Amino acid sequence: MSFVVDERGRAFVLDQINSRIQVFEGDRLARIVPLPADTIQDIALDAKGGVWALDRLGAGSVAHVTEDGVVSHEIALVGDGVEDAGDVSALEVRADGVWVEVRHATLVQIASADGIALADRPVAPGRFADALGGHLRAAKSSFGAAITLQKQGERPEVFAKLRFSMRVGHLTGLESDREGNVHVSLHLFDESPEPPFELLAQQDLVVTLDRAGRELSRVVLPPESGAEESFRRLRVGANGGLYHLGFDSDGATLRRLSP
Amino acid sequence: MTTRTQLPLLLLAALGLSSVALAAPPTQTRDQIIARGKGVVGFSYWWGHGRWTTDSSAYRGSCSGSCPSCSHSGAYGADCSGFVAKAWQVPGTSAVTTDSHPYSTYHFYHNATHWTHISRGSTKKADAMVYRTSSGGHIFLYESGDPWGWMTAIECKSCSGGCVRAGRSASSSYKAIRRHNITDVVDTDGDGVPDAKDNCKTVKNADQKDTDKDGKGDACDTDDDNDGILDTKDNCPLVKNASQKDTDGDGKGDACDTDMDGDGVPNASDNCPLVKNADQKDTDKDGKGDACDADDDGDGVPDAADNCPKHANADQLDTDKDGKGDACDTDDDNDGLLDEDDNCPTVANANQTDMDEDGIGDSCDDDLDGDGFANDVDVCPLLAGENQDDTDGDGLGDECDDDLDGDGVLNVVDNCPSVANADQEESVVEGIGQACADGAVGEPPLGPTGMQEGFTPDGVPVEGSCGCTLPGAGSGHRRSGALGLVLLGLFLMRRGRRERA
Repeated sequence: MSFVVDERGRAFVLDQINSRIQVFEGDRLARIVPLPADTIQDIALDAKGGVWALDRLGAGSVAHVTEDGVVSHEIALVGDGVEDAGDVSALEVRADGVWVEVRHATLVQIASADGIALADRPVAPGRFADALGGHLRAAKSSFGAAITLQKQGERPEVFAKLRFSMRVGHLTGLESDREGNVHVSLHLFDESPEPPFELLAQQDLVVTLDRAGRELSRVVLPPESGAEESFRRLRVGANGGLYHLGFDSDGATLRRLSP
Repeated sequence: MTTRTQLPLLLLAALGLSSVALAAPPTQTRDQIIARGKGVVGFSYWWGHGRWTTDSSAYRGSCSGSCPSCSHSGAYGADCSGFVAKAWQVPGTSAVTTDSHPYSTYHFYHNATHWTHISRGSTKKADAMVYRTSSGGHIFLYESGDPWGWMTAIECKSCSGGCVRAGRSASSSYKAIRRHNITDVVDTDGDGVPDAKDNCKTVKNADQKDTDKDGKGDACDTDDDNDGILDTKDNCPLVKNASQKDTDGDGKGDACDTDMDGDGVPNASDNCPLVKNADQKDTDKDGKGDACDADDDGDGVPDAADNCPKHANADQLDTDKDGKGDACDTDDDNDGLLDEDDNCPTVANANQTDMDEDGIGDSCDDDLDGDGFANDVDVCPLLAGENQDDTDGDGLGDECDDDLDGDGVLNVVDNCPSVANADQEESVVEGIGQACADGAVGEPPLGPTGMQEGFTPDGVPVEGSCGCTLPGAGSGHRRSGALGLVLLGLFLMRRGRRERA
């Protein structure tokens, strides 16, 4: 599951199993964009509002999909910087072209702004943080997480270190907004110390940091559950808002966490 | 810390497991499990099954619909639990090509038959993550983690997703389980040989073959024989041959070529292993084929200088000096006649004359007249006869001497043919020279028969002749005492005629 929000605040929610994108305007389902496969796991919008879809398990490619669900461009994932399509962990579309993240570490540009596949693929050291002038990366520990910022031409430096009372299961998002705030979402849990290590508690958390790495807020959300994996849980929309996609027994819920 | 959970046999029976299944599964390394599990990637999701193959050409199958109400085509595929059981080799050894589905996600989640529940934060390679609710479940194999705590998983996801290997997250609703009898021995390539002992850590080589014993297995050694030539270019990659000599140019170096000269005869039995000689001809049977033998006939004369290289002829005799030794020359004297037809094979005699017709040509006959006297002693070599008299001692026997007495006057006109009288002074007897009329030792003139009158051809006085016997006469001599009387008679007859004239 994944989503993206455009400048008008419309939410494009990837409904993978049903091979479609549901476009919401507020609570209203505005339209549906059919997708060519049910293996697409992430989506992004380009500057013209075009939809790009990541299909790493099926076609092993990123495709530009028209409103009618027709693939107009398709770029293979495997190549310089991407050894295995299964290693791709995120899709980013920027003004200069299409980028994919590899194992939550580096970003590799695979296509130009025109959607032309690149033979020589530039590599960025982490997620783009334009307002901070660099790239962000994050790593978990048993009860914490560390965020690094690497500015252009410099070595990476610690941006922030977070501690939690519960175990960190995994990170679910790392975003930065126009003000330079950094948002981190995580899945936390507690388990019994003895076999069979029963699950005692779990929660999803969104931590917001200012541009200096100081913690501004922690927002607790219903925990992710179920067998399915989620691909994109946290996103800063093109309209500047911070959004979180959650799953529970009732289904998927998209929440706006900031004005 | 983990402990094994012992379940009552009755409960196990209720779950469809017999006591036989309690036997420990075979020991596996983590790398072995992952290597086996990677083989399922690309195969189809097959509800209730667990089977795939390493044959890259095999049809991977296809799934359609929504399981369990899905349909599958093809002979290979697995569902999530069938895959993990096979990758783990539980409850026991089972070939990946053998279809099996011993456990469901229910078993993996609730039981601890051949696995143990572990802390979610302590997962290692080849552990599994299992989820189960009343409506279903899922299980996948954990390979590694990334900085976010996501997992590289190998799993058979769904009918549409198939079996894949990719990074994913997993909610805490998943439990982590670890197979029993799993070792932490690192075996990166999953060939059964731990990295600590593996001479090719990232390339499968269970046999650990290391031809040059350099510690780098052949499977990953770019120069297996350590001869300085890369295997990709080495014409004997497993045999040291820096020279790369390849006599027959067949791409297989001599050092490893069982037929170096490419003549179809294996080196071990080739009498010229480096020279093509399919016929294996060996004239002198010395074990070295003619093609490489410097002396084919073994006569001690090198072929390059041998005038009969295929015939032993140490003396190199070449009668006609035509460069072909007599031993192999069919015409030794080069007279145009084959030796077998030549009555003088080593003496040129095109005319093939043979006076005495003894089969030996005159050119080479020691006894031309065949009278038993060798030419060099025979006073008449061209006239057969026992008489070897030579009155005048000129070497020419009387039988063939036209001038017996050697006085320069031929016998036929010599009035004393046996007595040298060059002046031919006549005696009173006409036709008789004075030299022999005086009783000088000599022979009477020969009559028309060429024989001395009064004697038989054998020298026996004719009856009625004087029978004169000359000095020294013997059986071979034709003089006799009667000769003088005959000569006198003749003289008188001739004188008388002259007077009457």
